[in-house]
Amino acid sequence: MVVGIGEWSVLKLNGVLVCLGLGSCVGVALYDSSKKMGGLAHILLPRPQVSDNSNPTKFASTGIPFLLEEMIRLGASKSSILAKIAGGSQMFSIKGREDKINIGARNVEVAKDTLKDLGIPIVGEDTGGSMGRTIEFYVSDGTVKIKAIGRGERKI
Amino acid sequence: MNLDSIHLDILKELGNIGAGNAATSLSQLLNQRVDMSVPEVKLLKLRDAPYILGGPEIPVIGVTVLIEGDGEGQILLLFASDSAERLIRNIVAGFSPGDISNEIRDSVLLEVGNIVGSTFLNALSSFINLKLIPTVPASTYDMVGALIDNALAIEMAEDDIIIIIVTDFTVKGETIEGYMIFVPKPEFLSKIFNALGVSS
Repeated sequence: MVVGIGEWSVLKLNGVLVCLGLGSCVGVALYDSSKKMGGLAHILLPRPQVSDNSNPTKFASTGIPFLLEEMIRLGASKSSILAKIAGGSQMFSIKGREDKINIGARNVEVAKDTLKDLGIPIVGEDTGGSMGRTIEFYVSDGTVKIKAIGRGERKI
Repeated sequence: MNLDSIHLDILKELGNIGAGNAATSLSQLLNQRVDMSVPEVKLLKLRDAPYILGGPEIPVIGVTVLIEGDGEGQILLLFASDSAERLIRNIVAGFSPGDISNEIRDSVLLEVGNIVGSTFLNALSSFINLKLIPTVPASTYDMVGALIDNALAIEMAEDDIIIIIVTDFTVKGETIEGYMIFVPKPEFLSKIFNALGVSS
């Protein structure tokens, strides 16, 4: 199942959750191995600037707590949930504009801070660099496969 | 932001003016006739944006120019690899393909980004009377979805709807398909409409 920009999805027992071509976006995968339940959020930005934004999973600061709550509502137990994160690249460089264009790094930073605040351990990470990534999250065992052009496949 | 037909007409006119000027300067660079299609203005939902060339994983060559000055945003030129190759060969005509190094390829693409970006912005500047300055361009080869989400994130596209102006151009009978994507920050878009006396 493809999870588009700003979207989220939860699957139980089996199936694959996918984010295609992540650039500065971050895919946050939460997994409860005791229930074989996996949730994936496709995060675009670190934090909302407009408070009434209707779509929480577009942002790391609001999307991760939202996904966690949805999983608990569907029967996951918070104490057994682990996280894996991937993405957060900087796709190009322009001298003197790094502060503006390093949004991928800020996405990763806020995602990590948010997970820490929620007490969810990060057990796998493939972030940063300057490459696009496709991620496949296998709900049967919690594996996340990562594909990037010119780098081959990785598993976390 | 609520956009209706008058806003779309304005964007289409901006696209026409910008693309027309860009075609003229490209044809000067190539020393050949360049035909450009009538630009199409597309309003896309965030989740559909990475699919503009077919799918998010399609490898493309992207040239990015940031917009600075009275308005902020980004111009992203996207070419399928074969189109980029045809464009480069047209520009460096006289070299045999084996002699075209990656450095030459890169500098040709950056120059195209410079020309298209600055002519588009010049046209936009005089149309709406705002001072707009392009940065130096940067080029990337990667998945189209990665380039697009990066552009949207940098411009803080919180609106859920993005605006894309698509143009194709043809050089000497060869189709070189290029996509020009204009991603204004939401405040810049409001400025454009306000400058033309249309509320947003």
